[in-house]
Amino acid sequence: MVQILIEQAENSTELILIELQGALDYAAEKQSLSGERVGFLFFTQNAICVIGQHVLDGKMVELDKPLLVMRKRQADGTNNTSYQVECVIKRKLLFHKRSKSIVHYSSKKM
Amino acid sequence: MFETTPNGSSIQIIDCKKRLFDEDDSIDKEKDNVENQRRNSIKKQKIIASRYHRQIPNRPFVVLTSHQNQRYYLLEREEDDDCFKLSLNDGNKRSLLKVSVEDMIETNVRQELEELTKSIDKSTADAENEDDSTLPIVDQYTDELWVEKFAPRAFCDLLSDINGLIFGNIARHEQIASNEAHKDRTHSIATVNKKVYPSDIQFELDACKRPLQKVALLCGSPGAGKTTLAHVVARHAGYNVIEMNASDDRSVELFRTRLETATQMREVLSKDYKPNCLLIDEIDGAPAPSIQLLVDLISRMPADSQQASSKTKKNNSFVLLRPVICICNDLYVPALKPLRQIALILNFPRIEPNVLAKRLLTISEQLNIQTDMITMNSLCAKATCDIRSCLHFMQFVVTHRNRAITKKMIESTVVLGVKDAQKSLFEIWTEILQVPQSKKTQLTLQLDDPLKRSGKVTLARRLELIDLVSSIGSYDRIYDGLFEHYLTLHFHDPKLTSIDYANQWLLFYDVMNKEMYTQQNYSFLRYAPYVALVFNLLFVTHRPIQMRYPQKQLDMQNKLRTNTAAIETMLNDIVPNIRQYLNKDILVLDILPYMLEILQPRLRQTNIALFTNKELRDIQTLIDVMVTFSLSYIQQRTATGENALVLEPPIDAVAYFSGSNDKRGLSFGTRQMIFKELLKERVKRNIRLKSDKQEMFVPVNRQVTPTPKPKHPSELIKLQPKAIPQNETIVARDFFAKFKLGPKNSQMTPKLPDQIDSASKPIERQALISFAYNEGFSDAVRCRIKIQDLL
Repeated sequence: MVQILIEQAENSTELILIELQGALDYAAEKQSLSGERVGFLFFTQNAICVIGQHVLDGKMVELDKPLLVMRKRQADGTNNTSYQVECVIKRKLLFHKRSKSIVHYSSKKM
Repeated sequence: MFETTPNGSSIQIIDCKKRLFDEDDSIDKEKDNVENQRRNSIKKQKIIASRYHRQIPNRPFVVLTSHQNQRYYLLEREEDDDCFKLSLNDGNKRSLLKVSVEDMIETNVRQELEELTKSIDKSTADAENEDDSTLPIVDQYTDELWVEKFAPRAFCDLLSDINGLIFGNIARHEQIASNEAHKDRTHSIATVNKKVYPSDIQFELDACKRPLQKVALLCGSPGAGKTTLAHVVARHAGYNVIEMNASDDRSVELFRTRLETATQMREVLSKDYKPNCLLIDEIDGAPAPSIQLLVDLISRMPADSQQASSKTKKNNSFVLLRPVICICNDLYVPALKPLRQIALILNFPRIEPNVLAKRLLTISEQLNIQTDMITMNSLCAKATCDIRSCLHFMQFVVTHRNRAITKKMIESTVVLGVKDAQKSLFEIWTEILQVPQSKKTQLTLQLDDPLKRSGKVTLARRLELIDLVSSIGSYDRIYDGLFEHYLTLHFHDPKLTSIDYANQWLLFYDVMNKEMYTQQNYSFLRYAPYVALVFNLLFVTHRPIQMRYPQKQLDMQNKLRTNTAAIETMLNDIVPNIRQYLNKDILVLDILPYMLEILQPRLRQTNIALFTNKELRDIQTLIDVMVTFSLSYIQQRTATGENALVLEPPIDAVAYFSGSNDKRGLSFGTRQMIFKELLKERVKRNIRLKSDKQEMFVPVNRQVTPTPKPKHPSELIKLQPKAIPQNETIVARDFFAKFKLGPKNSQMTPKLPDQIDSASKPIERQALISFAYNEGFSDAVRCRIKIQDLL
């Protein structure tokens, strides 16, 4: 029987899952997305997310089963493999409706 | 005629005698008058001298000032100063002449009267002597115009007269008249006439038993005897002729009243009632409304009259039951057109010269005039078979000289008195370009050198032509016609020298014309008719020519006007900074032909998405050009009923010659596509102009670089505006704006979107990350994780 030790991290924060009905594309010439802003999130009564040229309407949904975000600690000589719970995900932002595209005068910029 | 004159003249003689006695008395009176006058004048001078004063007199006076500014005081005349009273009681005896005007007139009258009485005595004597002659032959030539004297008086005279063709006409005409007569009077003459002259015209009678054509329209050359014929025929058919000269009664009202009186009234006084026959002479001089009135009157149906009478409108509507004969010289006057359609047109043929000459010869034989057939022939030719002018000529010569007419006399007379001798333009053209029937033998047209031909035309013929052309006077019309048709004529000219020569002459005429009209130098006018002569020499043919009225001049003028208008509108709408280098000539000669190539590129008939890059570029330039020169397409319906988009203003009509391949335009679909793109481009440019204006006040560090060209063909069609015109507009607009935008234009290096102040306008820049919505299914993958993976 293998015991996996799971311990609560000290400064665990709550993360919120974002569920998108679709995929994120990015320009091919960019190698990594680090430091890139994906989009904007506004909270009114519901949540509004703006990604690129699309506006997504979403809402906060409680997860049926909370999810844990854990960090794995590899077993070294002394300790066994253990996991540390970084945070618990209890809610998610669900953007399941069709996204609306933003149209603006491109000619105005010229 | 001669029965009336003696009675009239005898009264005049008595009158005259009375006057003569009066005159004897007056001569005595005059002697006294002269003495009185002398005495009076001496007295007058004295009194005049005493009446002027240098100082103010003490009697009533009038102030006078002389030319030297000296003042005189003129005494007022006293009432009893009888020598200053103009001798009013003496009548007009005090005149400049010794004999007063009235006296002179009276003596004249007396002389004339004496002559008249003499002539009457003589003529009565002559009439007694030559009672058995058919025509009243009188030795005195002054009493009556020969034209009237030798006019046919009866229908029988006509039959023996001039030629058979007119006889045919008379027969037909007679039949109409007799039909009328039959209806009006139920006389037996009509039926007799019908049997005698079986005509080739079918007479259909209408409801009123009138012939279908109620009006006879006689037309023919002047002096042919139309009026005489009409008179004789009408009289023979038993009508009372009422002649109306349409040229005199010009107003419509007058025309109407005369028409109505002539056709409705009847003679009350005369015992034997004759129906009237209206004879309208010279109807081509009448105004169009009058003719229209006549036509209305003629075409009115009796049924109408019954209705009208029930409405008690009798005076406005009556049915024409009397024959109407109209006479005209020119059948093709525009005003006559309605009448032409309903009238029976009887064309008076030209009389054959030899027939007329024979007739003239018999007349001269009867009058004991010495002449011969040749002379008469040449007279007929000179007068162009005008009977009236021939007779006038003969009478004139005989009364003024002796009783002989020689050929020399005729040839020496330049102009014969010709009435209305206006030839139509078509006759002139025929005269110029066609060999006259009788003179065929004189000309041989197969000479190689057309200029040598001139020797073959007689001098007389040439002079005649020049006279003819200059009598018309409207050279422009004549030469327009010649110019339009001279190339279609059949002439023998292997080296094209005659065409060259003709063109030179036309050019010469144009030069003269210009000189005349610009400098008012009308001395050149006399050279104008020679062009016609040259054309006659060069192009005269035996074949019948077919001329049409010259239209091309008018067409070309219209075309020029529309083209100029098109060019002007185009010039006005061009962008000002281009327009300043353009004028009409440059535009037409240097720009339009090539611009049309740009405007009509070779495009395949495919979807716009399938165009190659070159074609897309072509379209882009095309639209650029169209916007710059503010051209457009407008929809028009063609003659065949199809819709078509044509350029507006229609510059393609200006630049292409007619007959060249201007059909090689774009198809309707392509034009539609271009038009759509053009409208889009217009909107874009307008917006840009507006935003540029706003920018002048809000200086924003804005990206001006053109967007990188999209690779997708469908995006290419958006036709991104070029950067160059935009820069131009900025530069041209304002000095300050140029100053501000100048450095920005220079730094063209594109910045990364997020390095610019993205916080202010995050949406506008192009996003790196985009979202693609997946519909219908989720890509989420659920996979099993074994515990050993976690370890």
